[in-house]
Amino acid sequence: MFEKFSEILTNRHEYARDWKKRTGGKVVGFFCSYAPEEPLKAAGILPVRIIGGHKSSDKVAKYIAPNIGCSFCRDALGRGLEGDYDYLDGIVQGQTCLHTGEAFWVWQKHIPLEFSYFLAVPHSTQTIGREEYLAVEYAKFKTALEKWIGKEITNEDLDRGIESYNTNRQLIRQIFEYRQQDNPLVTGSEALDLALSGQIMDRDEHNAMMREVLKKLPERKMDRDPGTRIMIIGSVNTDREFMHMVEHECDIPATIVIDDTCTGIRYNFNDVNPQEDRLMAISLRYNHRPPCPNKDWPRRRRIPFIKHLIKAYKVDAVILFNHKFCQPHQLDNAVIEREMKAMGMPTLTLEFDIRIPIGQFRTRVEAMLETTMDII
Amino acid sequence: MSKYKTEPMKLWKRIKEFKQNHFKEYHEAHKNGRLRFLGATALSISQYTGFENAVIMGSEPFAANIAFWKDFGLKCMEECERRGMTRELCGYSKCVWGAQFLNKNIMPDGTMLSEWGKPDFASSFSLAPCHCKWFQILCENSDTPMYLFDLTKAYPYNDENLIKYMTGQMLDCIEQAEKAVGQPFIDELFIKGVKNEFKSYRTWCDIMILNQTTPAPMDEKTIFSFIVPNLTKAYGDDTVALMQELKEEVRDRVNRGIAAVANEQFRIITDAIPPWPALELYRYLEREYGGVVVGSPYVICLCGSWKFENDEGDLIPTPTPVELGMPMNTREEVARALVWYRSHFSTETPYNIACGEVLHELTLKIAKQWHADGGMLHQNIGCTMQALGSMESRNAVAEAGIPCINYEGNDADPREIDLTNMKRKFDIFFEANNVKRLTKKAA
Amino acid sequence: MEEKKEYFRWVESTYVNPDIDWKKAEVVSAGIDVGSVSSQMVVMCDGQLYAYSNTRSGSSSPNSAKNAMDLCLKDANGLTLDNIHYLVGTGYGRVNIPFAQKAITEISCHGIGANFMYGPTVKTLLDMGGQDCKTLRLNDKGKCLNFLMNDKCAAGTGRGMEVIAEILKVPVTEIGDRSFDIEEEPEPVSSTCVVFAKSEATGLLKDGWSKNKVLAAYCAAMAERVVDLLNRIEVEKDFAITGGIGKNKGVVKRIEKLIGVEALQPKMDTQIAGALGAAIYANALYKKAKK
Repeated sequence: MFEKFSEILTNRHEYARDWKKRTGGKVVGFFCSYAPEEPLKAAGILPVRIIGGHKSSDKVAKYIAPNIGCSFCRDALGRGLEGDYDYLDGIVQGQTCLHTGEAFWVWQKHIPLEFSYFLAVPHSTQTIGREEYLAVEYAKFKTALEKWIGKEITNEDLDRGIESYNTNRQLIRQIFEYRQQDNPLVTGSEALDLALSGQIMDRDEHNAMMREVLKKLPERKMDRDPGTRIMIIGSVNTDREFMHMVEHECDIPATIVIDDTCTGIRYNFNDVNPQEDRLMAISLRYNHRPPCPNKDWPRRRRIPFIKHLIKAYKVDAVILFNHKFCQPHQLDNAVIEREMKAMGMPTLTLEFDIRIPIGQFRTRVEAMLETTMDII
Repeated sequence: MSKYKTEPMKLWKRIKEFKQNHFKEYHEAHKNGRLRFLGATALSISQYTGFENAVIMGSEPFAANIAFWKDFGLKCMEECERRGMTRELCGYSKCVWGAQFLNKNIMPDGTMLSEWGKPDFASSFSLAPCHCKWFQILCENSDTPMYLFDLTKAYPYNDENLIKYMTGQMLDCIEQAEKAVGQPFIDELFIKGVKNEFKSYRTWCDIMILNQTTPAPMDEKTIFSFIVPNLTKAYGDDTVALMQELKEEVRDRVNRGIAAVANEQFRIITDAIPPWPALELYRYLEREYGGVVVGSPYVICLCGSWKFENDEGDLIPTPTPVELGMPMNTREEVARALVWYRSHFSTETPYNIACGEVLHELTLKIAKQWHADGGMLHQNIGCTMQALGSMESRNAVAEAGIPCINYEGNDADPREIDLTNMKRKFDIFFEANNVKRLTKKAA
Repeated sequence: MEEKKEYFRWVESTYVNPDIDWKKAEVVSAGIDVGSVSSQMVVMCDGQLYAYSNTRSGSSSPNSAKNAMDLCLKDANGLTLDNIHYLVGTGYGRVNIPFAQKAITEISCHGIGANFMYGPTVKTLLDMGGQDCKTLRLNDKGKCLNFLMNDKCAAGTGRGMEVIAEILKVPVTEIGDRSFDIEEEPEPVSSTCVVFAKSEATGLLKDGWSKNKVLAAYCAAMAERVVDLLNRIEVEKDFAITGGIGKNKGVVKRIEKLIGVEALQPKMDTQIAGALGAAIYANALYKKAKK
């Protein structure tokens, strides 16, 4: 039912090249999920999230040291330096962590592009004045975009962009809701491919595909033991191999029923509420979306959000992950792990790298699952 | 015979005492009926001068002091790791968290304290994203009222949206602090403190420029001791006077040709916070090779404010708001002037979001303007923010024809410092650049 | 030609309990632990330890399992695979043991194995294996309640120690004792990474350090790494150690000193804990299936 999403995700570069050919439009890569996608869409541009290929590249080490740079960002940059993203006309970064920022700057400096823009998104989404600040930054961004594409971006254009993304997030949430059932109608692997493919596709096309799925989904019969219901918490998850291993290769059945990641519900949780000042409307969405660790201070909004999901999706166990050298997530995970243990929630913390040691991780996941049950 | 005349810095002892006294004042504040403010120095701590009874401590020097006393520093790290904080996390954060967990601290002279020094109010800036998480955890664990500033993209400087946003936060912080400590904020004191900070910072720029001279009147290891007054008390009359005296002394050394290192034969720039637990490294370079570290973006910008002349030329001191005649009569005007001044290349702003954008250019300008023969840039594993841009800085310096290497170290964690390999790397670097070794090589 | 000496080698071993006649046992259960460095088989008769083997792992898991079995059954008075009622596989290669009825992770197995070896008072277990290192919190039945594992790094593991043995040309089994034959305890080396160990160790030797002092610095660094994991899981008494490094006094004593808790004295080969736990599981699973 979700094969087409998986297929497009696997062949994402071909998809983008084909989209360019079909539409004659421009493609812009973005690093972090705080990138301003609605204005890009409004400008007729296809925003695609830059993700790694789970492959090492020796071209990265000249710019970012392997013993300090986050593994996800090094992987993503490596793909850029290797030429996998040669179809991009531009790149955009919505400011979040230093690692994605550095990947952006290295890319901008060493890979020729027509357009690049570093958007100053507030570090904290709780400070006084952050909404107005971001709206002004969007206005600057919009002007830069208009200069590049040579035409004005009208309110109608922005409305189209907002509508397309709002619909997308709503449809994803609708599909995710079927994961709340006792035998979830969507596996975690499928949910990841669904949500992640959205981040590299034209949202209107993605929406059409999701509508087709929703016609058939309520009748779906799942031929698998859902086992332990797992929640996965972390940053950007592109590790499809890991998801597959947990749900299909372990000796003990398990299903990943929900996540707090920026390739899942965190990114798709809230919409842009229309208002006359479109850029302010978009600013409000980005400021109010469930935050990542970088943007979650001084108060902690992540933990209540996670607890809400645990309840709604009847979670039995939690897997926390961070990419190697991702300090913001390491910091939060230490606190979340403590909270989870205080709730009596079995918790496993894993460190992802460009390539993960799948055998070792399988042992850890199975051992965690064994702690939740009586073997004898 | 030595190449240059050398003599010790006259102010050395006084500045050491200044540091010791300031730490003492902070730790004894409550005993003396005063308030403790602990704040990250990134965009000034002078906003607290409006509180009459404030003793203000910069959190980075507070942390660096722990890191310098490596046995205690190590205990702090281990205490954090016990609580699930990984080895790769910010070294400074772990020093201060650890001190808090252990409820102990250490004075600059090595005296142990039986209390870590909980502040009455704390603040930080999102210089690196971890910088605010640092205080989030610190304040959660100690139930300390805090204000965490969002210092967003600070380059290109002179950005009205940023200045407005930051000024709004500063005014809000002042109100929050007033409520938290229950004392009135006096604008006149604030205005005076900020004006003093401008003077202290401006003087620092002049002092740094004097170090462009050959032979260098100061080496960076010595400069490290001189940064403390500006970092923790730039707002004080005594600091303004001290910086002035320091400038006179350095100028006098320049006039008389007094060198920091008698055998200066190779001028070096670094970039980031040094490996505090292994500062002997600097003496190794001097002793063995006449290698003098003359400056770094870190030490030059840390207590000054700089900009590019006409936005792309040489690095020059940012004129102060007082020099520019900006209005400074109200709290808001002063906050705005302070934000404007400090959101140039000041403290560590170049490392933050501007890291990939401009840090390499800044490093290269420094290498050229301070007449460096080579660069040794610290891949500081204890500070992601600094380590991340370090390789592009190296590339920029090396591509401009100035030999440059990165070396791996840690600003706070002695376990991550491999002095043997560091020295070997430097030996190879000097050998490759035909720098004569001054001592007989160990057998 | 002189034979090349392999300093990493440790002695493979077998054991058969002379007081048990397997033919009289109602349930013969077995566990095989195929680890990355070593493999073991344990046979139990009605829950009593009957026989075990401890061998070096080969290139493939099925072969390693078979080697461990051949060695274990060689002197086991005619016992063959056909006589074993239930066999559980564990360890890194557990899914590739053709003759196992079930696979259970080495984490659960070590907990149960340690419970058998040391008794029900063990609450905190440290298992230092060939390529990983883990700390476990156990209940009085040996069930693992919580665990932590080191990351993709051979520091603090058996393989790391073997590499040091090769670099310094000191037999791996002598490292523990020799690391105490020093005048003063050195600082731990900074990098326990086996890749960097070589340059650092040679650097230290060049600086005039004795081999024993370098060994001491390595044992101390390994202990330090392991203690990170122990601290995070919070050591509660009793504390015990399983796995190959459990035999290295140089590391064990230093760990005890750092955490201020002494480990229980092992009564048998600490390397067999995983296979032992698997055999205990096998016994119980067989009985459960028969009911």
